[in-house]
Amino acid sequence: MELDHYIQSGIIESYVLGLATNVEVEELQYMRKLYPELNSEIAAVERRMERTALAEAVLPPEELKERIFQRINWREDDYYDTGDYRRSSNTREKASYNTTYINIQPKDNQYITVHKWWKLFFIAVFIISKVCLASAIYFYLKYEMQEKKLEQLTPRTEVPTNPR
Amino acid sequence: MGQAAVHIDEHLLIERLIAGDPGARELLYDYYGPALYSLILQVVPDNKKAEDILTTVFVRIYSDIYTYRQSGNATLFGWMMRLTREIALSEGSHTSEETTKAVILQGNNSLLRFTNTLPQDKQKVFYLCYFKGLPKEAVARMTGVEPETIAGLMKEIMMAFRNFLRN
Repeated sequence: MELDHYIQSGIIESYVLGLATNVEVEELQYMRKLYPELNSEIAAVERRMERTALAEAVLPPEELKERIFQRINWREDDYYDTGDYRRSSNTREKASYNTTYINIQPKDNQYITVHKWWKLFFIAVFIISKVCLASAIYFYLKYEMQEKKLEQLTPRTEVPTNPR
Repeated sequence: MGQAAVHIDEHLLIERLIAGDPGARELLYDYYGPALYSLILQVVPDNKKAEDILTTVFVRIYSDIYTYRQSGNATLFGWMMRLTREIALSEGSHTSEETTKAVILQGNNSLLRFTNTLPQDKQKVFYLCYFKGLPKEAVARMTGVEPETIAGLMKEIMMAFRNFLRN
């Protein structure tokens, strides 16, 4: 039988492994329409592959899961922000992506959001104020020293003049 | 992994995934992540790179899941498996060009065990086609034979694989 011969040729395995050429894949899709029983044959091969893959699974590092889900959340936020969804807007399934995003903000408007450059600005202001303070102390001490010197000097100059 | 321990209702799972349900996504990762990770490691034997590839794979799975049904795939795993190999080959294998020269087979998974059952010439052809993702024409050029010979060899290899998988 033609179908049997076709299945026996290993074309399904080739397709399942991703080794079939475009022509072979097209041929297979055509045959699937002609013989729907091919579908269960493909599914059976894929299930066998699935069983072996699950049996030979290698556990990825624990933290990878978090990384992946973080990336997905980030990507989806980006997806809505940039209007990138035009890409798939023609598909019906897109509608089910219509999730409402709620921006969770603390109550009472006690907080404001500012540009990140303000951080640098505040750090600069802080450093400059410290520098000013340090120099103020330095110059004050210097002034005081000068004052003392002057005090030491003035009596000496006054001594010879006084008895006169 | 407990292969029969958890039975997943694939139809329902796909529905939930299309809806973007975080619970379904987590379930899919927990159930299939390790299996797909081992498939990646077969093609890219570098843990760091394989982790990055697994990330790309799951991002793609979650974002492209709505195309799964339209593309007429038979099972979810079949689709994910092909997608995984495709991404692993395009992202990871070009950095290990030198390995295309020498056939390096390590680890103990069924595909490698199958490769080892093949005679030398077929072993090389299967290795270059599956693990390196080279098209048959490129393999023919590399081994200096006609593309038809490679196609014939591949057919015999796939028939052998069919028997291997059934046992």
